[in-house]
Amino acid sequence: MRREIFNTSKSGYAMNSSRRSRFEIWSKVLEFCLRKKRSQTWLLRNARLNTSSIKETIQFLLSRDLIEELREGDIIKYHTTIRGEEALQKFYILIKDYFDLNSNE
Amino acid sequence: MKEINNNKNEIIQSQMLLYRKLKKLNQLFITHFSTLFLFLLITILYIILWSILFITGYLKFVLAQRYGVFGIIVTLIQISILYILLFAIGMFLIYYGIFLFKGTKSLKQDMVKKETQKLDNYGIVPYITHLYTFLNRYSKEKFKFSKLIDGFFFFNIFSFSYVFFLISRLIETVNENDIITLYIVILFLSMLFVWIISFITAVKIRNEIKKWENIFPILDKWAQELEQNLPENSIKTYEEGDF
Repeated sequence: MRREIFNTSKSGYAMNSSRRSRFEIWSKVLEFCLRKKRSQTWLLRNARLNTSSIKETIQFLLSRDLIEELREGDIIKYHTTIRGEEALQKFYILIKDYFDLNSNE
Repeated sequence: MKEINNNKNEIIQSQMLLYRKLKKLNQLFITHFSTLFLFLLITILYIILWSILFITGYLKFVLAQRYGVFGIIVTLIQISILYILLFAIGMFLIYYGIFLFKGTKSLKQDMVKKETQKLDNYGIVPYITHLYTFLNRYSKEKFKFSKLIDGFFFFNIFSFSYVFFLISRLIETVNENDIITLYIVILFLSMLFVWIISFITAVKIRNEIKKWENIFPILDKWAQELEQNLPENSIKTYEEGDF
């Protein structure tokens, strides 16, 4: 069983994990919510995080306007915002550019 | 609406490019895994052949005959090293196997979704993060993964050379018997073939992993940016110099 260690920094939602880094968790949740609205339970199951970690992650992404909360009856679902899409796009471009730069060398 | 569609299209384009790269990397892991598995089989075959020759009396202990007790000790050390190697290769296979099972599954899932044009895929982030977890699992903070991968690489060369050496010794030590000699030669050539493929894939994997290892700090920087950027600020664009 993985052990997650989350620290809260001055900025409020800084997460540090010995095994899973912030980019790993945030990018995963942003991508999961990109094309479909996802509930917390769905994210919990698919992102393989514990309840407190997923709550903290959702809280952080909401506070940065990277995902939005949508109500579907009694269920609250989350969807990636345009800002979140831009952030995710940056994530891909960073990797793509890195490989492009290295292949040109 | 147009802006949203443009963003989505750019994401899909970047995804597809990275997807091809990840698929290639995954294929390298699969090939390397297969060569390691074949290596394990050849080593086991060598042990079986050695045991049969020993039981039937075909085997000559040249070292023992020549150097007495010292020769017996050297032979025992050789056999012990072989068993340690087998254990280590088995461990590598387990590590690679777990990684490949999950990785290939996530890539296949992605491919199926793309083919059906649903585009509600999970994307390739799970594979990237899976790779990150894999690399992080076997490297401590003080110990860079590239050093570990260098270790794997040299272990790979050493283990193949060692078994190679043992098989070549077997040809010398076996009494004249055409069928057994033929088996040994086949084993020797199979080993050579597997070694060449394993060596090529090990070099490629080593280079690829070193590249990926350098990406992860950049992605951590990306996370730092997200953390610092409050909704009223725009997301920072990276310059080439940042790499």
